[in-house]
Amino acid sequence: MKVAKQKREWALRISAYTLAGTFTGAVAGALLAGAGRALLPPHAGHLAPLIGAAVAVLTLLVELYRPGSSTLQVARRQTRAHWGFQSRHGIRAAGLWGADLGLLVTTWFTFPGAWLVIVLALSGRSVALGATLFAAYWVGRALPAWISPMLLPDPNATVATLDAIAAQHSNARRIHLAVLGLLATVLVVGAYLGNALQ
Amino acid sequence: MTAISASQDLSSLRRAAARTLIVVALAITALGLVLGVVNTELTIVALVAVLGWTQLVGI
Repeated sequence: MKVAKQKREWALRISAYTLAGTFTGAVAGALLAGAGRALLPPHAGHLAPLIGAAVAVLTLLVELYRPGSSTLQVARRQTRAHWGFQSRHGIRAAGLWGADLGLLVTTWFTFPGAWLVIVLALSGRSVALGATLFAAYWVGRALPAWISPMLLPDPNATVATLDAIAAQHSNARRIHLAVLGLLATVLVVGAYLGNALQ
Repeated sequence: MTAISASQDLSSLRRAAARTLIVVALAITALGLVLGVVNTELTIVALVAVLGWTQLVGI
């Protein structure tokens, strides 16, 4: 009975975390795309895939030659840890946490690919695309919170599991860089075929 | 004996975390590439989700 209640509480917290981040991310992406539509000339939309490819290559090179470069940060802050201690309701704290991270630009970037998401939303000039890109980035980012409990060998191994995940930093970085390269390729091919971000 | 067992547990936990990281990234990338046949933007959206997934160290 107690375990079932804990599982329900966990599911509610993770859902609040994911949904709040999806909402704020979609709003932030839509606002950025709206700003791009207002500020950039109409033909900029046709250049969006090539601008995106250039940013993907640039961020890839910066991360390769200056790993963790602090020059690529927008905001030098993290989510407020005290939300988790002050809030009597864990669901509210999880929601606040997700809402803050979902905004993308308000917290520290672990890897620089976030810049590509920002530039694609801005240069694409499509509110729907901007919202979708930010929401997709957030859903990918929130996914470990859903999957990591499956790695738990027993209920008391939370710290060891988080350590094991943290130890994957270099693997995650390699995949991140490979995906940046793949995105640059897809964007160039899409620009050539005329069917990307049009 | 206990120390060896703990070390083995940690090692297998790290292997499981690495496997999960790679398998999920490959699955989303493959899905994105397949969806790209329909629409290139879907590939871009899926790959952007993988960029988010690789931030997992920040959870």
